[in-house]
Amino acid sequence: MTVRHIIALVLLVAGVTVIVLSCLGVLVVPGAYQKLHFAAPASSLGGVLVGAGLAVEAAVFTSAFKDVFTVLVLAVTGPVVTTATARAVRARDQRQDVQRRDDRPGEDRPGEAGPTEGRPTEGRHIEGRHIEGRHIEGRHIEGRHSDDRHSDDRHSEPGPG
Amino acid sequence: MNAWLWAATVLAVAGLAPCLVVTVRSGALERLVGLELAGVVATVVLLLLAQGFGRSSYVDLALVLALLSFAGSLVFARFLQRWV
Repeated sequence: MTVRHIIALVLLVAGVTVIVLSCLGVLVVPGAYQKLHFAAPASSLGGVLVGAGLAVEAAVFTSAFKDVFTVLVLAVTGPVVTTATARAVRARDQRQDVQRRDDRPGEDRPGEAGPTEGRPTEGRHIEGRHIEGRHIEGRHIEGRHSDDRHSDDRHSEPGPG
Repeated sequence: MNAWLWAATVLAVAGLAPCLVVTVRSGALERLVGLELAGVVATVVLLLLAQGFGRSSYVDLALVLALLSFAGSLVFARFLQRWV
């Protein structure tokens, strides 16, 4: 067992561990964004480690050329696919937000530009209502009871992912 | 069995099974993530099998799978971005 063989085995075990862990992570975590986070290292880190192990074992570069090329294809296309999928998830979430807003026409919010506005805008509006409630109720500093129904409705909207 | 074949076996069992479970549960985009990961795992398994059996011509299979799963994932992502 030469040193080169041992190095190749270590790289192989590391790569296999990374890939198996990312598979288990994808299985465990909820939501598409979190799953994407766990799926990305399998191609960009795990595949490269396994390919490095193969290259070290082969010793002559020309005999491992196709291995290295395949792993490079994986490493280059992995982030591209991840980005495209994340874009699709974002488009779905925006469509769902718009649909949910259309389902409740009585609750139009003035000053809100559209579905592309992020969460901070909604938060500010909720805070504004709370401040109003506080003024009306006088000494009630917490001021959340008068507006509890609305704020609960807002907060219960599932976030992205 | 040498180390490469053992690694391929471990990956095929412990790597592809979770991807399969993800692919049959939850929403469409979560399933797509499972499919993409399964493509990566299958590519690495084919690479390791080629090395383990000592047939370098088997590597072509892994290379073709890497390219085709990339194209397929992009097509699926585009479709889901517009219509789901």
